[in-house]
Amino acid sequence: MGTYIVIGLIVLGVIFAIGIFNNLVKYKNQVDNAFAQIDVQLKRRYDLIPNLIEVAKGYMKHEKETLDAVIKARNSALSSFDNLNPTDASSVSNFNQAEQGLISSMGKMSFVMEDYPDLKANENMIKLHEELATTENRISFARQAFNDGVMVFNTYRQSFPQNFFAPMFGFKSDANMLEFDDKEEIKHAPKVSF
Amino acid sequence: MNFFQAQERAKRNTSYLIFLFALSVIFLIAITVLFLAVVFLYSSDITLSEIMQNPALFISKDLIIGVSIVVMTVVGGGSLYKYFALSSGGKAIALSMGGELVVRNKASANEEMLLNVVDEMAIASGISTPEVYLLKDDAINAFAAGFTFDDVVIGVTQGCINRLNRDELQGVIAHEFSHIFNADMKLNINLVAMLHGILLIGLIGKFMFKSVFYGNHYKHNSDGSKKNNSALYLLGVGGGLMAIGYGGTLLGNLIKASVSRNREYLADATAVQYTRYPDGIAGALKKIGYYSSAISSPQAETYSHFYFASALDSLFATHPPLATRIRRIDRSFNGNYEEALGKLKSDKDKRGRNKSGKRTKAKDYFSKIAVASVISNVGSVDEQVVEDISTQIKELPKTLKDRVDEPLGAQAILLALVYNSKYKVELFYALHKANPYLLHEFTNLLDEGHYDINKYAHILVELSLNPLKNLSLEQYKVFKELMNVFIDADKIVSIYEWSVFYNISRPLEINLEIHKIPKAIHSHIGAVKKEVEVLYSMLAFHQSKDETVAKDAFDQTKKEIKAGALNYISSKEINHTDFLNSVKELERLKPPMQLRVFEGLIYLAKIDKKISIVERNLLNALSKMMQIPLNLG
Repeated sequence: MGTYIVIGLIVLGVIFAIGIFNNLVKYKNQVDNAFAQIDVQLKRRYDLIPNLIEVAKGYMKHEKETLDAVIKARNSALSSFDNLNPTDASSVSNFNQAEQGLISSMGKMSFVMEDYPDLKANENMIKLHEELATTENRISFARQAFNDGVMVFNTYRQSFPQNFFAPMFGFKSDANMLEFDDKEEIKHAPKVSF
Repeated sequence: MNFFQAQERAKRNTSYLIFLFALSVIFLIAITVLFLAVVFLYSSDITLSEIMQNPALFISKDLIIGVSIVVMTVVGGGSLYKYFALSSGGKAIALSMGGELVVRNKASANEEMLLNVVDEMAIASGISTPEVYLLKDDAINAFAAGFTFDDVVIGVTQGCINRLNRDELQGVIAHEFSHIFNADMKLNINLVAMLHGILLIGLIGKFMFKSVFYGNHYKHNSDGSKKNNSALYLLGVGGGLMAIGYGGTLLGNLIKASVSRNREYLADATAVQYTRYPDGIAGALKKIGYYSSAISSPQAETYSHFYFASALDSLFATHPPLATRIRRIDRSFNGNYEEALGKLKSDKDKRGRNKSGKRTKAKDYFSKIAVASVISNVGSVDEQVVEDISTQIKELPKTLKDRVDEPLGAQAILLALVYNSKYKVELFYALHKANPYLLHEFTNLLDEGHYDINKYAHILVELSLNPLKNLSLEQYKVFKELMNVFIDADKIVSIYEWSVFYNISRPLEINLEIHKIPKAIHSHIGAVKKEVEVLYSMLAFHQSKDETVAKDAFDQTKKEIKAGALNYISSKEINHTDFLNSVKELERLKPPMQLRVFEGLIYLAKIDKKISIVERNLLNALSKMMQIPLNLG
């Protein structure tokens, strides 16, 4: 009788451990998938910008510099994105810098666009604007989904009794949340000069 | 709101309720088994008191097991039946509700935005993008239906995409994604199926009860007391089963409704997690409260649990009260929807969160109307001059009244108002090319022979406004094009034609967000001297068709509104563009000045002691433009 109970307990324990292992794998994959989504959406934005510039060109003849700056920033962001190696700190910081440049040049462009009501009323422009709005949203939602996924994975991994099993199964460390390099900039309100 | 905490709470409550539900089901089955076992023994010539004295002696293990198997089979069978009946894919449900699949390459701007928002939420929740169906309903509502992640669809009403802005739409869609993510449809179907099993006990009881009750009448005389006795016995069993079945279903439904309400709180909290913008979903809920969200599909009751906001209101409500939901997201909400929406708007202006560049102006329009109606009731005209509006609606021929209630008929009627039979061939051809269905409707209307349709113009215009709000931007553009073709057929745009179309196009374009109400800049009448002159001169000439009489009327009017500097312009010197420009400029007049100009207009219109159809429509149109309520009736 005693041996049966022991065997039963062992079987139960194994089933329990398998469950934990499978959950860890599931959450980890969700995190990876969410990270891949960010890539997809960034790419989508790079593809969208040339179309936007094409439409804007017809109206903003006097703003050639601004538009060229956007294209340049986009190209450099795309190339550093293509060379991005998540484990290499310098390539990551390169990429972050290029992204930052793109965002600021885009901001400048939409600021200038305010002076061109015809352009803003253009049907293609309205469509592209919606496209760009949704893409920006998708990027931030993808980041957010990634962070939420990381939180779920970490909470699960750190909770008892998973914290006991996880290192044995090879899930030794927490997943890292995405953080913005421009943390300092966020803290300081942007300066506006006229 | 702390959405993670709110989610935890909702999930804990659900587990508790599900436990309660399971307990009640087990309890009900146990009661049924006991009841049947006792009944079974009773039939085998043992009296009830004997059983009561020593139950253990009679209620054997075998009996209990036997009866249990029967009861479980019945309950299980009933549940399975309902389960399979309900688990048709989401697509089938959406179609049965009258939904239409939204396809990206055929989508209007609003629909495109909807699809984008759905994609965004798919990313935020990590679920693959479901199909989206559009319901032709003006109420604000949405649902998610389907059994697995793969066959899930999202349904959204037309009112949803017309009346909500991007952030609010995002909140609604996020809420539906939460239902998908938390598998609420599956949970609900499980509960409904389980309840159906219990209900089946009641139904069997009812069947027994009825068959004896009705069967008894004609068998009464044929046989003696023995038959009567067994009938009484069946009656008792049937009644008992009915009581258990129906009572149990009632109890189960109460718990189920409670579960459902809990899942709504969960979905609201999860929506905030996905969007990280509580104002979005709170704003949507407030707008629902404002416009009220009763959905008109006949299927609505069956699928009430899917909805974003409840269509039904009772103890068995599947959704919590709107105000409570809003308060859980936005603590500052005080139950006043109108006020809350006003605040929402001004908040948004401050934040400048104008992401898509297109914001709904409809609410803006409504609120201004509401304000204007408090400001004045300048338009009261002598009762003798015009009859009461409501009697006019009553006088309206029934065929017209029926037509004007739906978009196609309303379009046909408006076209008929500006139709000139001289240009029949060209106009019919244009109609045929643009919209053959409309041509069909139009010819039917003409065949009914409403020769005096112009008499009802102002009423018809008012009545057609709401049905026409269902038109999409694309459909409206086609309709507008047609109206212009009809109006321009004789190369002359009369005041009447302009008024009829302006009466309808302005509110619709504001509704569709094509027309923006310009900012009022002119604060004195001198700034729009020319414009007022054009308007008054045209109306005066139209009235008398005689330059000297017109000039006289004009001069009387300018005395009336104390604007001596105005000069009559001969009708030959005014063209259509002048008129259009004048109207455009007068729209930018500040409210007190608008009132003065409008008072002059009414004075001028009444100067010949009657208000003609043309005048009436013009006054209507301009009152709309200046947002001065005109109460001619």
